[in-house]
Order: sequence, then C-alpha cells, then structure tokens
Amino acid sequence: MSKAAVVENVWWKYEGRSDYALRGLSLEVERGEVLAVMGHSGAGKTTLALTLTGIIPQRVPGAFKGRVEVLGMSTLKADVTEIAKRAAIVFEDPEIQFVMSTVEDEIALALEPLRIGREEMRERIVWSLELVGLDKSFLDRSPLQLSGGEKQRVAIAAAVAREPELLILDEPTSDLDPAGKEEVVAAIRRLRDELDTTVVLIEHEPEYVAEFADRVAVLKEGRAALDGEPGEVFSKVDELKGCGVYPPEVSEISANLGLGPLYRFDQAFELLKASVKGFRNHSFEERNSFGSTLVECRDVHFTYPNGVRALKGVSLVILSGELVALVGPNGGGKTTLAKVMGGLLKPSAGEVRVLGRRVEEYDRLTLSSLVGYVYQNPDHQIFNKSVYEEVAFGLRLRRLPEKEVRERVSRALELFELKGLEGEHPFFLSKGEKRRLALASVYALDPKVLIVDEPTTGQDMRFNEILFTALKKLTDEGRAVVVITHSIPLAARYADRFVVVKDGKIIASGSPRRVLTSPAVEEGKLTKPQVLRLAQALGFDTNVAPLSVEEFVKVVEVARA
Amino acid sequence: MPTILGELAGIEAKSKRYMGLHVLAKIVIPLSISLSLPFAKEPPQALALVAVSAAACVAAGIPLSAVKKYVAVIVSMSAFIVLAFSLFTYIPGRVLYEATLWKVQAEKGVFEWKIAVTDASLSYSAAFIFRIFAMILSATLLLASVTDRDLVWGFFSLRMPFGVCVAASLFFRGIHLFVSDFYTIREAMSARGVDFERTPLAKRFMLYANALTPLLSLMITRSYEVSMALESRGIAPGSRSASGYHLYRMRRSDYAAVAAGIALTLAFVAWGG
Amino acid sequence: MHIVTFAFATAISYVLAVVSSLIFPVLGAPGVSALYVAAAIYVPLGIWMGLWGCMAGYISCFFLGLYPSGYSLVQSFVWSWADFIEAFVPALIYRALKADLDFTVKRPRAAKLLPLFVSSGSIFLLLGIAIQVLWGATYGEPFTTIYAAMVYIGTALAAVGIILGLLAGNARTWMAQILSIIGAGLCSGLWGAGTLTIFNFPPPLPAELFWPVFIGWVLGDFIVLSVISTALLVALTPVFKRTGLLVRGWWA
Repeated sequence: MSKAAVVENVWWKYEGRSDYALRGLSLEVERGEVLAVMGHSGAGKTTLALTLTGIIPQRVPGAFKGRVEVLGMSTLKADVTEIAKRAAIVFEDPEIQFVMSTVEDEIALALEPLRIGREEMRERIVWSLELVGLDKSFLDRSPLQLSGGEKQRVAIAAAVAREPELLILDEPTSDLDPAGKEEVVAAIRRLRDELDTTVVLIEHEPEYVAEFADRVAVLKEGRAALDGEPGEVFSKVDELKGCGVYPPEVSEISANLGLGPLYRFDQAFELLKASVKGFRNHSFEERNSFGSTLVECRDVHFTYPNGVRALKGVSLVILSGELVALVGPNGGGKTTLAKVMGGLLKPSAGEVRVLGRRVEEYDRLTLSSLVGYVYQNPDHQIFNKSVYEEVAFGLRLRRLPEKEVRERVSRALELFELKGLEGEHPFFLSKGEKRRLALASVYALDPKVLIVDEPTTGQDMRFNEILFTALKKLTDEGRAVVVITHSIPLAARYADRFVVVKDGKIIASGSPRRVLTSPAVEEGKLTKPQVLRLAQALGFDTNVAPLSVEEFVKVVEVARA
Repeated sequence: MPTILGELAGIEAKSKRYMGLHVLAKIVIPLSISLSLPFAKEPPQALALVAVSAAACVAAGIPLSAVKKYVAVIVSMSAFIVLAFSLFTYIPGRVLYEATLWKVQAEKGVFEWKIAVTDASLSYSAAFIFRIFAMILSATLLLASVTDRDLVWGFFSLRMPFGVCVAASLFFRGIHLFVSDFYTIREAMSARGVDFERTPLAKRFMLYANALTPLLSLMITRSYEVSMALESRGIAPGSRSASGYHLYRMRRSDYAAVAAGIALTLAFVAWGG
Repeated sequence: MHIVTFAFATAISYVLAVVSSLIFPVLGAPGVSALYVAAAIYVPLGIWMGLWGCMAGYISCFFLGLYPSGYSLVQSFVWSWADFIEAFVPALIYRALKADLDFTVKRPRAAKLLPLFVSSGSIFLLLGIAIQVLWGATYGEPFTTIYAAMVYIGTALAAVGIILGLLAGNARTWMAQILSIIGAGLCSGLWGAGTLTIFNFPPPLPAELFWPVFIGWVLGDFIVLSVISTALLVALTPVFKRTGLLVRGWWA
C-alpha cells in the first residue's frame, strides 16, 4: 500500500448549490510525502480536505460521484469515526476547533475515540504539546486566552496526539499575524523532522509551500490544473496566475530573467550573486503629493474599560488621495486607532478631527457618511436578507429617495463585481463575495475616508490583488483609504504610506520603501517582501529597495546592461 | 479556572477548600438552601435561612458585597412585595395605615381600591424579603463556586454521551463568543449610521431584528464549522468516554458536605413544616 | 450539527436574556423583561428545529433565573419551563398544521402591519378578560361594559390582523405564525407568571402579583414574537432549509 490517498474522478455538489465544487478531481498522495495543495478561493481545497476525511459525503448533504480511498479505506464504506482514528485535519480557524475549556481537555477529547488508557492519554498530551513548542504550563490554560499562533499550535497538537498516518493542514497560517505564522511554521518544521506522517498542506503562501512541499497540486474550479514538483510547477508563472495562485517571488524573478526553474530563496541568491552583488545606482518613483487633510488625530489616548491602554499619544494625519496601510503586531493598537478615527470609540484624551471639525460635533449619521468602516469579519456587518437590501440599508437609514437608492446600489454592486447577485441571500455568498458586499455597503454611503480592517485575511492572492486595485481606484477619486493588514508584500506595492503601530504608539510612518528599510521592520515584526530580502542579501544599497518582482527585474536588467 | 459567576460578573469563591469540593457537593449545598425555602414561612425562619446562606458564602470565600450586584433586583422585588400585600390584597391585622385610592359605585356594590398596611402584611412582606436574600445568596454560592469545567468533567465522569458533554462546554464558550459578537454587531450598525442612543425606543426595537440576523448567521456558520471539526476527530454525539480520563471521585469531605446540606433541609422541614 | 447549533443558540439566548432583563426590566419580577428579546431566538429555533429550540429556551431561562435574577436552583428549575412552553407551542402548531415554512412575503405592507394588529388585538382581549375576572364578575357594571368593549375592539383588531396575515403570503404559514404568537404568549405567561407568584418552591413573589406579572409578560411576548421573531423567520428560514438544519419532526 504505497498511496496514502487516492481521489479518482470525484464530483461533489453541496446541497442547495447549482455548481459543482469538485468536478472530476483526480489526485494521489504518496505515503510519507508532503503534498501542497494550492488554488484560488473556491477552487475546492477545503472540499478536498473534507473529502479526504470522509466527512464529505458522509456528514455533509450533497451529491457525490467518484472514488476516494484514504489509507486503504473507502470513504463511502468506512465510517468517519474509523477514518478519524488514522487521519487528522487541522482547520484554518483555530477558534472553531476548540470546544473545551482548557488545553488539556481539548487534546484529551481528541484522544477519546482512540480508546486508550488514562496514562497513555496523559503522556500523549504532554508529548504533542512539546512537539509544537508549548510546555506543560499550557495545560490548564483556556484556549481563549492564547494568541493566534498558540491556538493553532494547540489545534495541531490535538491532531498530532492521535499519531495520524495522514495529517491534513487546511491553511493553518491564514488567519494569523506574522508572529503567529512563524510559530506555526516552526511547529510544522518540527513535525516534518520528527514524525513519519504523510502531510497534505493546503496553503496560499508560496514561500511556505516552497519550504515544505515535496510536490505541489494546483486546483482550479474543482479540478487539478497542475501537479508536480515545486520547481516544475512554480516555473509555470502565467498558468499559475491563471489559477489564482502566485509562485514565490524568486520563481517569478527567475522566469523573467531566464534563470531556470527555481523556487527557493537560497537558489536565487546563488544564481544572482555573481552578476548583481553590491549594485548601487537606481531610484524608484514615489508619489509624494496628496490632497487636503481629511482626518487628523492629535495626541490621542485610549484606555479600554478593563484598564488596557491601547493608544498612548498617537498623532496622525490622513490626506485625500492616499492609501495608508496600518501595520504592526497584533495587539498593537491598529484596530483601536482605526475605530477612533471612525468615531466608533471615544478617545480618553486628545482630539480627532474629520474635515476640520471635532468628531463629537457630528451626529452618527453624518459621521458614518464621511468615514466608512469595514470590519474584518463581514458576517458582523451583514444585516439583511438579500444583497440589494444590504447595500440599500445604510441609504434607507438616511431616507434617500428610492430612485437614488437604486442608482447608488447599482454603482456599488458594479464596482465590487456583485452584479447579478442582488436577490441572493448574503449567507450563501462565498467569503470573498461577502467581503465585497461589506465594502459595497459602506462604499454606497459615499464616504470620504474608507477604513478597512484586515480585508486580506484568509483570501487568495488573486482576490487580494483585485481588492487592492479597487481600493486604489477609490483613492484616485480623491478619497482616502486606510487598510489594516498583515500582507506586507502586497500592501507595499499599493500603499502610499505605511504607518507602523506598536504598543499603542506610532513607531514609523513613511513610504513603504522607507519603512521597510528602517529598523521599524524588526520592531514592528513586519514581513519583508521576498524580493527585498533578496536584494538586501545581494548587498543592494539601501536606496535600491525593490518591492515587487517588476522593480527587482528592472534593477537586475540595468545592472547587467 | 474562572467560575461561571466569575466570568459573568467577576465574583469568585476564594476558599481553596470549598473550591476543592466535588461538583456534586458544590451543587447540593445551594440546592439544600433552595429546598429549605418553602419551609421558611415566618420571618424568624427566613432570617435563619439568610444567616445560614450568608455563612455558607463566607465559608466559600465569597464576599457578601457580591449582593451589591443584586441591589436593583432586591429593591424592586421588595417594593413590589410590600405593594402586593398592601395594594392588591388585604391581610387582616392591626391597621397601621389605610387610604382609599379609588372608589366606584358598581352595579353589585361599591368597588374600593385601597392601600392598607397592617402588621400582618408587614410580617408577610418581611418573610418574603428575607427569602429573597436567601434565594440570591444560594444562587450566588452555586455560580461563584462551580466552574464550567466542573460541570463538564462531572458529565464525563458520569459517562454521559459526548453530545451532552460537548454541548455543555460549547454553551459556556458560546456565551463569550456571542457577547463579543453582539457588541461588534451593534458597533457595526453604528458604523453604518444607526445611533442607538438617539433612536426612539420603537425604532430601536425594530433594529434589533437587523442585529439578530448576523448573530444567528454567525451561529449557523460556527455550528457548521465546529461540527466539521468534531466529526473530523471522530467524536460521535452518542458515544461515550471509555478512557476514564475524567476521574472525578468523591472524598470524605465531599460526603460530609452533602450530608450537611441534607441535614439543613431536614432541620428546616422540622422547624417550619 | 443540531447539537452544536442547540448549544450555541442556548448561549445566544442566555446572552440576550440577560441583556433584555437589564435593559427592559419589569420592576419587581426579575428575569421578566418587558421586551424579552431572547424569545426571538429560541421560539423560531423551536419552529425550525423542534425540541432543540425548546431546550434552548429552557436552559437559557434556567441560567437567567440563577443570574442575574437570583432565583434558587429549584425555583429556576420550575420557572424555566415557561420558556420551554413558549418555544414548544409554536413548534406544535406548525407541525400540527403541517405549515410549509414558506415565509415569502407577497405583500410587504400587510406583513409590516400584521404584528401591530395581532398584538394590539390580543392585548385588548387579554386586558378585557382580566378586568372581567378580577372585577366584572364580582361587581358587574361598569366593569362588564369595559370588558365587552375591549373584547369587541380586540376581536376586530385581531380579525384585521388575521386577514393581513392571509394576504401577506402563504396563508397556512402566516396563520400558523399568528396562532403561534398568541398561543406562545398566553401559555408561557400562564406558567411563567404562575410559577413566580402562585406555585413554585416557594414562589419568589406573592400570589397577588399574578395579574400584573402575567399581563406584562404576555404583552412583552406579543411584541417580541410578532415583530422580531417574525422578521427572523422571514430572513433566516431559507438559510435553515438550505443548510439542512431544518427539522421536520421533533429531533431530526
């Protein structure tokens, strides 16, 4: 039995949907390998994961065709509980995986179906925690009190404690900040080194895939579009992008410069060092002039009722026409600052002005028409039973004539590619569609400033590019957009300014290039784009700091010339 | 581990000895106060029950100032009880105060609605009000000493099906999650222009329908995801724990506490019955 | 998935129960809220998921009784059946009438006016009956005239409400909804007010407070069930249907 899993011509349609989520998918997983599965949002990755555990088709209503065998068991015949004894899955959102009140109870629950003795359970609990880099002090802690990275590591520990022969990791780093991602990646490294388990890793981040994968399968619209070794797959840059997947930046650089199929940082460094080391002369165009002041924060302090001082004297100006990225570690005060700017939180001290007037002088309706706020989880701000009603909600609150409501709704739906979905119940939209709906609902109010809280979390690169392009278009209309994000490489390409917030203070503010080449990177725990790290490793001068593949390639071409 | 009341209102039993008791003992003690209530009919009996409840709270390390949280409840109930016995009925006794509020010559007689305070009505009111204190103290004792982990471990040790154990745990987890969600949703509505403070009560009430829609949608989404996570671990709702991991045996102190609770109830039955 | 949904729904109901009883209290009757928004969760849940919704009502009320109402364990145990009944009666009515749960609104205005007429009609009827029971039977006029007038007005309003219901959309579904609102309010009010004032171990309040508590309870229920519950049923029934959470029987 050399195959850990065989998926043969699988078709799957969720009940109530008209489209198939999997359309004749065929895939094999070799024993002992790490297979990375990539694809755009909605390509069928999580559906594949559920299929490998037998949950589809046994527990989820829908229409299933085809054959799936996992560790020699047919998922149509062997019950989910039997498959779960040998195959484990870790989901994207650590929160939903916790049902018990302590870490110990959580892992113990995961071990119950194995029907092992008490002593062995205890040993495995401690062992699995150590494997993911957590010690015994975590046993009594509530999962709710843990950081994102710690939560996901506990979820991995609960899966690994069962010593599964097949481990499926469904976007384990998606919902995490850079620090959390690092913790989880370190845990996965340890697993790879110490366990003899077949791993299916579903992941958007190409660098992680490059580090871990023996093989990469790319799904597109429910089918396997590409399948092969990482170097081979990542060299097909255009085809990958057509599938909504972005290869590591070094792969794109290599494709542009004709360096051959490489996908790892060290490979690119070795190949390029001879030709471009220490290159000095190049400057990049940066936009410096923007419009008038729309929002101004002067020495703002904010303390939560539980005593936590979230902002400690923040002063900031947002200008029309600029796209500002608020970056920094979790718990630093980014969301608090954004809400204070939006008038949703009242500062304990200091002043916030919108269009020159103090925020307190506005009524709620007027202020929300000037400063729009889009929440991280779109489910928190969808209040109605159809897409149309949702976008119209805010407009009807303002008692606008129905004709104007119709026009503005239509414009918003058009901009955010939601035309045709007017009658659809928001619950049944995909994650990306919900996020666009949330944006459209706020955009329809025609705000001068749009604040968007972590819109890229859990989304594929293609969606994120589309999103940032749309946000950039808004700044071209003279609005200001403030985005809270952890996607530094992406934000670096679109933002006019980075504002780094840590421990309630602004530690850096400037163009992305300036901030990413300053000490604020370390302090703010920012992830540099791979191209910039490569440039720095190659000894580029600090003023030659490419932030995108295009910039890097340009620099190299000039250097070679 | 915070207790149920600790999470809701910041009130915790601080006595390690009491908190170390088995969950059954920690439930039986307030239950016995509860079962003694019907027999505390007279003010002295009700007062004695209050004293016992207060003593139990002190022994558990619960500050009696916790009762401050219930001030509004106590005051409003007390006021209504006094009104009930003086406004809505007449208890015969020495009349201390009497006033007619409304007199109507009806078809079959004179309808008089009056307020009449007698010594008997005050005595009844006092008994009721003392019972309220005992009631509140017993509820506080229960919730400030029992953690959700106690309850869940208790269910596991009784070999209840996983469905019951997990549901109990999810209930407590869900309280946190949805409190946070509720406030975020309210804030999101404000972000769209809803001003809860300035909106008339009727309109505000209608807006609750809009607020509950995302709350329930989140509930359904989370239910689906949590169910998938549980299924993927092989947890079937009807199966039971076989590991004996959640060993939760009673000790002598637990039996003693249970016996004390039973004795208390029997004593009040004998006194007031 | 039903167990998980039930657990979460119970949690939401409890959170809303606490919020309602603190924001819209009925003075003198802790836990009784003038506008008990939690009912908007577990009553529709009873319609959608049968006994799961009823249990969510019971357990959330049980914990509400303990905190912040301060009722003892036994009192809470007995009292909480009011919320079980409140979810059970509509669930029973829908299943008995074999109503299709088709909440498509054909006439939005009718659907919007329906709660007003049904609630006000029911309240008039209820108040009239209370007046007759408390005073009319003993004293006769003018109480009997007031009773008769309130019955006529209440019946007329309720009749208009019923007609609006039949016009609003699927007749059987909307009829079931109207009957559910009235039935749930009255039955749960009887148990709830009764156990608080007349029977319990012991009742926390004197028997004399039965009628004020009962009327406050029923009035609040009518408003919440006719406005919010109905809105949620309209908005979320398609979701329950498509996700497979809908239960045609009592458990599955």
